[in-house]
Amino acid sequence: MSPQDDLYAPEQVHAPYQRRASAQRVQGQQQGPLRVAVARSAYGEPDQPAGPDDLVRYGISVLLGLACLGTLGYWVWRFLNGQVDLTRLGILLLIVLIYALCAGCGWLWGRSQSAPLQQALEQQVAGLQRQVESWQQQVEYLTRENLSLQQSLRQQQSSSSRADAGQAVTARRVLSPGSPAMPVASSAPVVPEASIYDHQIEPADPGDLPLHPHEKRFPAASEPNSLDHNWYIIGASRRGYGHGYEGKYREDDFQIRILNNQAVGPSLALVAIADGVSSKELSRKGALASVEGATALTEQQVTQLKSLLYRNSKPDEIRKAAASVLLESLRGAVDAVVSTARAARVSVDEMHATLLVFLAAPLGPDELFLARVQIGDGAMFGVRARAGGGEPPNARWKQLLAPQIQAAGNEVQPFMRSREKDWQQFMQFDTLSDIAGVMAMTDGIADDVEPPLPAPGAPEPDHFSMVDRFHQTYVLPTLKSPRPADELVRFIGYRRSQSIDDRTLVYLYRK
Amino acid sequence: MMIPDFEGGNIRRLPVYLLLDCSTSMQGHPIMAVNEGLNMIYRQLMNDLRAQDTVYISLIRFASQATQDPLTPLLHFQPPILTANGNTALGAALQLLVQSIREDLVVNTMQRHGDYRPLVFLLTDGEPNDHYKDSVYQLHQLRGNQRPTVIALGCGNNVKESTLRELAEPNNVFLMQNVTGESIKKFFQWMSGSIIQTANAGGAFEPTVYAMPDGTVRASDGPRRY
Repeated sequence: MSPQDDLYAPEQVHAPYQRRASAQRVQGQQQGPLRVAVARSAYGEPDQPAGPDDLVRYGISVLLGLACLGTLGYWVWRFLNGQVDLTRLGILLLIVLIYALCAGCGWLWGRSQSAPLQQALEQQVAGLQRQVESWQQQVEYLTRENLSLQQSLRQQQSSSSRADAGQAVTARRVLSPGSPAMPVASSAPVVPEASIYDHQIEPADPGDLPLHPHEKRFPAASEPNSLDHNWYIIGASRRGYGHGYEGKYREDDFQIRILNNQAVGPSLALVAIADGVSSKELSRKGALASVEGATALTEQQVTQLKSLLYRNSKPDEIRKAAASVLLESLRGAVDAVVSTARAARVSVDEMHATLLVFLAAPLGPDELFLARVQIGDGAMFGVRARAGGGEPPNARWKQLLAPQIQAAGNEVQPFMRSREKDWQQFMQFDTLSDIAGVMAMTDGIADDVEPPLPAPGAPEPDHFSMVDRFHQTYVLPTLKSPRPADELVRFIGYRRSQSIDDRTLVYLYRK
Repeated sequence: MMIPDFEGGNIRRLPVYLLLDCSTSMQGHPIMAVNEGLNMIYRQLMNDLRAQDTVYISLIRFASQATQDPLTPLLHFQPPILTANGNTALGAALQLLVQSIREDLVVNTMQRHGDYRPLVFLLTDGEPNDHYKDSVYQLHQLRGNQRPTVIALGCGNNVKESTLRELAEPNNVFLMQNVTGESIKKFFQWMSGSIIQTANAGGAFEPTVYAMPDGTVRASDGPRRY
């Protein structure tokens, strides 16, 4: 029985969908169960067993045969006893001749009827022969493949520099060590490159590196980063491993502006984070222009908001003033991108990026006014100030901005394709009264801290477990350093499967 | 201080479904070329670091009935040896495809990304012998990141372009008149290039720059050679 026949075993034919145990496959432990679907055929059923009609036909045929034999015997008996004259004998012979002709015609007719069936059988035999030839060819092919793999294994064993990478793949195949290696023409060996992390290369044209270095941090040397009530803000951005592998620039960018004219009101941080759309060649320029434009507000433009915050005005008034500041910020981003595109003589389409803007004003040791808006797929999280020990992440963390995940999941909403009238609906305002830290990030990190999927051991996983783990592992340790931003740049260079995008993180925290 | 790796969390997969016709008419050189093409796809994808991380392959072979090898990470995928015998149960194959997409893919939610939109490559050399219209309807009902990008290649003169157009966008329907082992292998090369580019483009289907085999016509182009 061929493998193919085995797949079409009779017990599966009448079940529309069946799964087969993986043990039935060679090395099936790596594959899950097979699914099988039978065709819903438009053709009739196969040959039926003989019915009553057939039995009647067979009976009549037997009776007719017996009658013929009886008649023939009667005439022979009469002829032997001299009871038949020659004239009658001639008639008898004529009748026999007619009968023979009829029988001959019947035989020929039957043969002509069975010819297509015979032809079909011959075709079937020919098909089977072709299949045998095909299998023979496949055996030859597999033999070649086997020999080729043996040869490549030997090559890899002799090449110490790539031995580790080669073993990962060839180890899955069963080889016979010591068997003769024959030169074959097919099958290049499968040798995956060692690691994406070891192939970080510079852009072919490094002219933009001063404007778009692979790493960016805030504060730079001697730059103030403190706000009222012992709050601080740091930021870091670094080129993703994927862009390093392709020799591309960092396409994320961010800008932090401290507005701390103490004469007017509380200090205020205005932050913009952008993620250039990878498919656009100049998206890094769009990202940089966006964040610079979004944070280019003057002290006068935020004076009213600061004054309202200082006077502890009604929430609606504060919200209105904050919305006005965010609106001005987004308009500034649009203007900056348009003018940069004009200067570079390219379409704005080549500069698409996402944009997240927030302004934060500490109102007390653990009280923070936060206005924010996002167009794209970054994220923002806040952590509670008075979180006691042993509280689950769900009780400590709050999502302040969620990624705008499209239904298809592949598309990104570029900021420059959004309309001003839609911006208002993305804005959010809060006075957070129990807060110790805020993280804002691009999708290079946001994707890594998404809520985990339910698993057999954890049917209802903690929504913020990855956020908390990220905060504990890569953010909090940096604060012990005298230069936290430098450490943050280094720490967000962590390695994670599939996580190769640029990463940007801004962290606002209270000491 | 050493920076620890970030473990755990979700992995976004790029599901790739290969629907391969294993009917009697594929016997001989065509099915051998398909087998070699499968090996070639495996090798080429393994040489791309992003594809290694992202691509999950499921093979659905169809003849008198359809059989599916479930979605398997590329690192664990073993190209099978296919044989050709039987009719062309395309409808059954599509039914398995729809079932797998519905059951096996992680959908996008407001909180998290699901899998990338699946890529479906269909290779057939004949008209379906079973009822396939219901399956096509169900395929078109899939939405969001479950909606697959279908690329269909019809080999030889027995394939109707209209049937393939029911399954795939005209831009993604290709017809190959002169079917040789070499042309089928070249199609597999095009296929693996497209998968790699899609994996690198974050899941949005990106046809490769590799040339299609000579004599292959894109349905939307009419008589022009692709």
